[in-house]
Amino acid sequence: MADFGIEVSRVGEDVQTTATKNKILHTDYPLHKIHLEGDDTLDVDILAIDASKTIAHNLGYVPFVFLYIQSDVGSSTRHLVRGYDPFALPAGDGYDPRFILSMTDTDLTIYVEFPDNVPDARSYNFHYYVTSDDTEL
Amino acid sequence: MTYGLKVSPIGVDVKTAAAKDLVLTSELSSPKISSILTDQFVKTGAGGETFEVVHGLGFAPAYFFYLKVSSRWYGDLGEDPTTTLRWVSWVDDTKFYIYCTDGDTTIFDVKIYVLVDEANDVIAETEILDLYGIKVSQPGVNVNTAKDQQLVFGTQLPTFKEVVIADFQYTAETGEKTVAHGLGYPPAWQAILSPNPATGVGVIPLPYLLVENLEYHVWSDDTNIGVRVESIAPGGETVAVKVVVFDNQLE
Repeated sequence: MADFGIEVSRVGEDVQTTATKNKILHTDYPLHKIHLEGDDTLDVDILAIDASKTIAHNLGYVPFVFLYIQSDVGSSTRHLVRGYDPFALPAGDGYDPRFILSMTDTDLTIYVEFPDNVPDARSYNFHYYVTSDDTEL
Repeated sequence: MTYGLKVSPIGVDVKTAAAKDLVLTSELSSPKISSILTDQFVKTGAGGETFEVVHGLGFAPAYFFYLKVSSRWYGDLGEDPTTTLRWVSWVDDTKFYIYCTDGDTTIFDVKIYVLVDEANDVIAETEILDLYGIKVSQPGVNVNTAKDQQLVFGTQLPTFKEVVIADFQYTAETGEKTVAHGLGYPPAWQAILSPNPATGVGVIPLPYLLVENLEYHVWSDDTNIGVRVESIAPGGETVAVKVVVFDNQLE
């Protein structure tokens, strides 16, 4: 440890002796910080087979993004969207959605695709967190 | 902002550093942990089976999810090559769910970091039992009355400290690569891949599991962060995987 900086331990832990993993804050290790977060909706038109929604973050570099989407229009179920959903969560009507998240240095895009054209319009609510980390990718 | 708190890493001028280069700034919140759930399950046989972990919050929270099988901690979805277990996870108002398929009889563990979630009006507010500690609120929010979701930082709310960044590169190749993290325990992690193998552009979060086709898996154990690639991306281009490792002990 350097002879200056800030360390904050959890309540009940001696900051002078506890392991780094037990510290809430340590000058040497940046916190995962959130640049932008919000709610939005991915709308799918009637007879569409896919849809997407793009949100600008304007960081100028590619950040980490955590996006939790309402997996099923009719319930509160949410899941963390990755690069490709291996198992579409059952929608119950045969039009199981698969979600895909992609980021660039200016925005994030959430895609949804269906096995067939959906017979009605539908919307998926989601919440996203864009971190301030520069992934240098 | 004329007031607040900023902490820079050693060697970085806190007065001029960009927000992304700071350890902490009251201008930016952090994912904060409201609770940690753990459980162990046994998957029997090859059929699909759903396992549940109760959170009881009354809303579907944000979370980071990890699953241990064959001594490795994978992410919220994946496939273990040893047992061939596959899984995907999600959450609703009351429970987390893990749907597993394939695999022989397999014991697996889960660890779920339930986050203080700004997506919900109902807050899993941490009861402040102690009269000491540090709280930093977001700009414009009274720190004395701020709810957990309005805090940038609080002694009562563990968060995710970034301790290691691991880089991997694959050029028209498959297989497993590892980087030692030096922590002595399996840490939590998050990972991304560039470019998106489906489109050749953009960056996507991992894992990527196009079953029995293109798969990118990430895992941690006591000594390493590992990446396993199955199948070569269309076009055979070079792909880069970046893993941020947190000082959060999974086991």
